[in-house]
Amino acid sequence: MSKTSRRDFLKGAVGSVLGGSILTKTKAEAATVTQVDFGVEKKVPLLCRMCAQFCPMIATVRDGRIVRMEANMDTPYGGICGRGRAAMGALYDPDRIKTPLIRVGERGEGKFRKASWDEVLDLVAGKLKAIEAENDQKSVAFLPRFNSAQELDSNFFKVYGTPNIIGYGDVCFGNGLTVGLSAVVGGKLASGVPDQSTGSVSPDYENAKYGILLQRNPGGALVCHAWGNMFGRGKRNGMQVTVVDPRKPSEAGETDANWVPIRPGTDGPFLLGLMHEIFKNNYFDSAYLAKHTNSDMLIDVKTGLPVQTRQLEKEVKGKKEEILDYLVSTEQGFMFKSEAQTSALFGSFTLDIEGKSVACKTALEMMKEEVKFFTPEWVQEETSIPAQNIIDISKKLNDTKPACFIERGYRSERYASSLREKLLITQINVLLGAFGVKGGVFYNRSVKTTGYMHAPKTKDTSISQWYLKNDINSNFMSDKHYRRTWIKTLLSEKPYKQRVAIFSGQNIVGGSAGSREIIQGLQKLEMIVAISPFLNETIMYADIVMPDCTFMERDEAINTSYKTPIPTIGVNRKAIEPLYESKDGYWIILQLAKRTLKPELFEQYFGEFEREGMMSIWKKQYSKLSGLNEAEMATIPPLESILNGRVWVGEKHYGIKAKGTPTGKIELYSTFLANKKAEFTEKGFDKADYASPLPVYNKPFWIQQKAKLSNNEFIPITGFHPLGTFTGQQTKNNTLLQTINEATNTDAVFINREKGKALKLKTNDIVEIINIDKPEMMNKARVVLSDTVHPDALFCYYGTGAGFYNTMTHFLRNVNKIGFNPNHIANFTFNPLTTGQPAQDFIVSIRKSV
Amino acid sequence: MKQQIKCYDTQACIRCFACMINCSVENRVRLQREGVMNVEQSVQATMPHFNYLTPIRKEIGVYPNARQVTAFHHCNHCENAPCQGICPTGAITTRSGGEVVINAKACIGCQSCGDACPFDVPVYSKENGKAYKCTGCYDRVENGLKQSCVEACPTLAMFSGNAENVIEEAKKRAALYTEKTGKKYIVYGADKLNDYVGHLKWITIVEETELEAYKLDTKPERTLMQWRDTAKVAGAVMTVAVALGTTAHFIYWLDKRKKKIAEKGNSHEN
Repeated sequence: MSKTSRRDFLKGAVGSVLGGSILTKTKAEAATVTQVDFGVEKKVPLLCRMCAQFCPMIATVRDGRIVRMEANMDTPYGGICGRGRAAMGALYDPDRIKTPLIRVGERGEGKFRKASWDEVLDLVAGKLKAIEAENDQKSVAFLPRFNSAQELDSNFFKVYGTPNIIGYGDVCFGNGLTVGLSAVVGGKLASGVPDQSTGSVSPDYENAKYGILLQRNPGGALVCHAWGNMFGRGKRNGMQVTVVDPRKPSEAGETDANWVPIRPGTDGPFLLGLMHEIFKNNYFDSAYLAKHTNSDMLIDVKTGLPVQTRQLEKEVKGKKEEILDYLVSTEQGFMFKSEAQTSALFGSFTLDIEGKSVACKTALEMMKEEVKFFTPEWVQEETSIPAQNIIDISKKLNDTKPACFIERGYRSERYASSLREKLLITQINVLLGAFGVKGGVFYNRSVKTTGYMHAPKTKDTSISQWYLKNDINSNFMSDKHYRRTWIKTLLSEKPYKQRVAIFSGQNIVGGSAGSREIIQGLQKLEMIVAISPFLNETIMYADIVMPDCTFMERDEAINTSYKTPIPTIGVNRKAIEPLYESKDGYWIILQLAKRTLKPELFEQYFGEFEREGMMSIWKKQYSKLSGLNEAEMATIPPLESILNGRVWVGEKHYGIKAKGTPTGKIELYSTFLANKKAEFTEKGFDKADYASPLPVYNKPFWIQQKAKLSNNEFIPITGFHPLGTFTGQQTKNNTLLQTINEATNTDAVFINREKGKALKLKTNDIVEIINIDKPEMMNKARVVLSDTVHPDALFCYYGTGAGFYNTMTHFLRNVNKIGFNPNHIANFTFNPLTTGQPAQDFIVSIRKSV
Repeated sequence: MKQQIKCYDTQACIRCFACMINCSVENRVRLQREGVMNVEQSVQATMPHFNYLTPIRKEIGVYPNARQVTAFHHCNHCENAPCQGICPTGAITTRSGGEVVINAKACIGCQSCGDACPFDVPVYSKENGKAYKCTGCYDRVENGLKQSCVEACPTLAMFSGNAENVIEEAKKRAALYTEKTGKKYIVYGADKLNDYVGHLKWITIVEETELEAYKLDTKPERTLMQWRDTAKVAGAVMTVAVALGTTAHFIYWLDKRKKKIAEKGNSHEN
């Protein structure tokens, strides 16, 4: 290989033009680059926050600048997506918030003046102290997101004395996905609601023979580490998929993915149809059900409750646990499960209980009878999926079981029926014997670090506790994730008034359904503070803005929360100094604590951190790890090694087990739901059926409102673009993504070609999109006619709109000038029981814009 | 250095575009390395000519039997690179690893390479007056690194290495997909396509009936008629240039060509 220096090479280039012969062209070799050119680079370990998933990655730093990102391949699931690769576009975004800001215009106008850090910190601390003097700390809400100061931020607000640390989950997984899973397989109770976290199970893509993708496709809703990676392995292993979706996503596969278009919001009927076929053709796994589930539980037909139960003390791994023992039917007669050898899975019986005869059936019998109604023909009517497809898909599940799965879903809160759909998904995976086994759906494992501090319990109880107790419609809500319910509190002042909100990374206006009501709520606050690296719709309403730095510009606490099958430990290190006047979240919280808390309280909780910095957090976190086995513990490296960028990983385990259900079994028939249903029925609650443990059909709001759409009406559905953000502004204004975004029409709304033609629309026409319940609310967007969208659906990529009333176009140079964000015109309604947001559960009409 | 080839697997790909983003990022790294501009400046400009790998999307079929197909548009680093053959200034060379590279410094922007390329690859930047295309990341490869698109792929849908190994792996995958799906998967480019291009150094695993959908031309060619004019003119110009007589004509001709291309505009489908 010829090694040409740059100088020689330049000479050659000139020579070739001026002195070259027409017969023999002088070679003008491109510059040869040597190792030295790559060698001056520094590598820094990061955990990517271009979305929220902490994928381990490595930044290349050259001349003090981050120039590229690579995946950290210490984990077998190493991989980062295009968003992570484009992190420099966010870091060096010229429209970042550069200095602290104080509002000078009206809220919403986005008019600010520059301020100093001292000025904004004193203003906020002053307000917090004044409120403390009135003993009203509960009126302060802190709304953190992934780009805040883990281990320090929420604790500061607890030490200060507010119980309202409010998560975003009610616009994502809360609480339909959580309850739909945990009601069956169990989960630690959070204020009485089983609460197994959203990332706790994975479909075993890499070993599955067949899977049904619905409510999520692992390519678009990309969690690269590990789901995207595992999905790719599955495809390479020849996994077959059926995509049940109103819109065909390319990410799931283009040549082979079998697309079954479905009417928006009718996943429930589809799943009920599958269950109908599973029972009709005995596709369920009897041995699995008998061994691991409560399918044999005798249920009182009238009440839906187990006919007889008793509490039993049982020793599990040396610990005593209370187990709910229940009556079953055996060849020797009725007896408690703990005493029975084998018991009947099916059957109807009459029992004498205290002189009364009680009609009862096994749980499985109840379910089988319940789904009799949901024939493939009925499903076709409801979902527009041909009956034969239901029959074929069910058969394929049977042929491939247990190495098959129904996708667990993601961002569940879309329709009033969301919880019901999640419950059906869990139940079907269990019926097929696919839960906990290779090729099916299994539990992820994780490791826990030690908490940095234990903040004292606050004297007041949180807003969520009040709703859980006093509002029957909020009975299954998350006690931690309730930002839209918090808006209800802003508007109603129940249970108490809210005066200050501090948003750290959350964009409640752009990211929650019902922007108008949300803004009305925010307007009632005395002070709105926003901590963020980027402008977003919510910041337009802030009184005080503090420029947070990005994850690339700060050290962070050790992280162990990953959506991976294996326990994983990693840390995010500072690659470059914070740009402009931005500061890292830890510094901001420390400054607020110092200015707000009494000196002795500050010393007690934050003194050590002030003196020793991040090392004090890392040491404490790493001092005791839990959740690992001995073999794994033996491989734990020294802290230094983690801080230097090593990602530690443990083992993957399959295993069929429940995690804290009352019976200790996988509760195909959920006793939590059975009790709730009975309680709600007794109280005369009209939505008691949404708590049924049985496979019943609960309709989404839009179908209750209007069974058939008019020819210009649609259900606004969204999907993630693999380069689009769903958590912040990291990708919205990112120049590195522009070319591909344009090539993939990220700004557009997609409607069915035939339906569009009938409306005399052409691709590239601009349409006005109106919520039929709020005709005064309108969004404009460019339309693309497509054959890959269901006629009832209006599809757009999530979070690509131009902002509430298109405001963001004035502040971010690359955002789409027009575009549709359904949240902005959505109804401010709540999913029954879970309080999740029915993000897509409303009807829009469209007309050509003139 | 052994010949490097890349393979793209349409079955394992999740269409996340990480490869395409990483390609444009690496080209910005090069700008900083060469002292042209720092990364914070370069990420503020879209510079589409630095996306050497782009998606061409198209819908096939009618609802409900419809789907979208994302063809990958990229340089194939042809063995008999026609672009290299036609380049009047010798700005295009083949590296020892097989990468066909345009030396931007020597490129005069005549766009002959675009005429000769049967895959419509070289992109002319009106801003810079140069032709751009994939360099095969020869700088990375010659230093033991993977091509940036290959390095970016989270699902191993892109892989690279010695020709024998890559073709062997590709054929293994194609056979497995054929077995599992009942459709015939083939490796496009595993065998020499024709004399015009020779062997390709970018092969693709694809279902046989999808070749057209993925824009994989089995007879890539530009007829002599299509590029003879260019060659003649280029030849004449070079003679004149060598004689150092009238560069005016050369400049005139260049200018005319640039205008012609400007009129052609962007013909990519979306």
